Amino acid sequence: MSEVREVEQHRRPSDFTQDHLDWVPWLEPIRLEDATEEQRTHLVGFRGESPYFRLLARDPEVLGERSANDKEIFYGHGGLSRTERELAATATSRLNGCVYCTSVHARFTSELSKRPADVQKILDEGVTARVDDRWDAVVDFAAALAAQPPRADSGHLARLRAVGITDEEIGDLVLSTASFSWANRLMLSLGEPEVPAQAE
Amino acid sequence: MTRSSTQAPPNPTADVLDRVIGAPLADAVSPLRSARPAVAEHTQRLHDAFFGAQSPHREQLTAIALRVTVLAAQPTLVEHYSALLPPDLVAAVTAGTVDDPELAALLRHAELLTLDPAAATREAIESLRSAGLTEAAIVTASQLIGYVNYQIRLVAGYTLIGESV
Repeated sequence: MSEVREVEQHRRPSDFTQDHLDWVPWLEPIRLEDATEEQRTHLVGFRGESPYFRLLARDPEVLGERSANDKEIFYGHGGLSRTERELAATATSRLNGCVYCTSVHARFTSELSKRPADVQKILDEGVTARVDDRWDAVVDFAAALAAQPPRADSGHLARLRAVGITDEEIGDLVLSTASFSWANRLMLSLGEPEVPAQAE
Repeated sequence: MTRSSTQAPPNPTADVLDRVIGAPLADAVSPLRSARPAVAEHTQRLHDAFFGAQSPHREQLTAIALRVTVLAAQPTLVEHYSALLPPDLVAAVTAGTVDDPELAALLRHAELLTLDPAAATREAIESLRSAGLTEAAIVTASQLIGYVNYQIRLVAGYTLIGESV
């Protein structure tokens, strides 16, 4: 049976949220039982359940390389805090209008920072919301770099350095912003978010 | 049709990103790039997967990449992808006058995703299917469009940092 289907109007999220959302594909994912050995290596655990990862498994080489790249960008040792990597992913997703990506990475940012109200402010007001000097500097840089075309400038850099963020840490901000400039375009164009039935 | 990525250890002189930003900037950002060697390696392997000699749709994917970099006004990447294509195709992609219906449909999709990704619709995917593209080809093209948007931000970010150190 096809997994591609219409999302009912009342199940479409109306706003940016930190609540759990589902994602419905517009293009047919592979079924786990049809996966080749190579595809299976990229569909271990929750990914085997996910229509998004089973759809991306149609190009297993690219999925594998991209997953390994993202793992280092978001979980690699040293450098910028996990919280601020997730904050940059949240700001990028909010700017690009990816409701699904924003929900996931806003939740991570809230859990790591224990600042769900500040995170929600960015979701509600957008990337121009003001929180504090350090988060504002991170969000402004991410939003400027994620813009099309990118418009991050030496002023953004100076503000990051002024709040004590090192160049190596700014390098991590570049990576998380760039990574979500990619991820947002996949999630926005290959399917759409859906409010889970039990949350109605 | 399987693309095999090279298993050879990464050769620093073959790093596309370093080549695109040029030696002075590459040297300037080398400390922060070398703090994440796995990222440099996977970023290069992704480039090889899309544009390497083993890639079954190398020319089509390169044409899409060129269109994305033209839209992002990123001259060094425009130059990089232009050099991988025949001059007449470079001219058609740059001017937006590609005749081939399949490539033209992919270029329209690349424009949508690059300029206004939140405006993407199920109908846009359906029109790629109508142009004769398989599910796998659409996934690969979508990943490619995402990759080039990622690469554009790496070039912009590293150029900004490198010019200021």
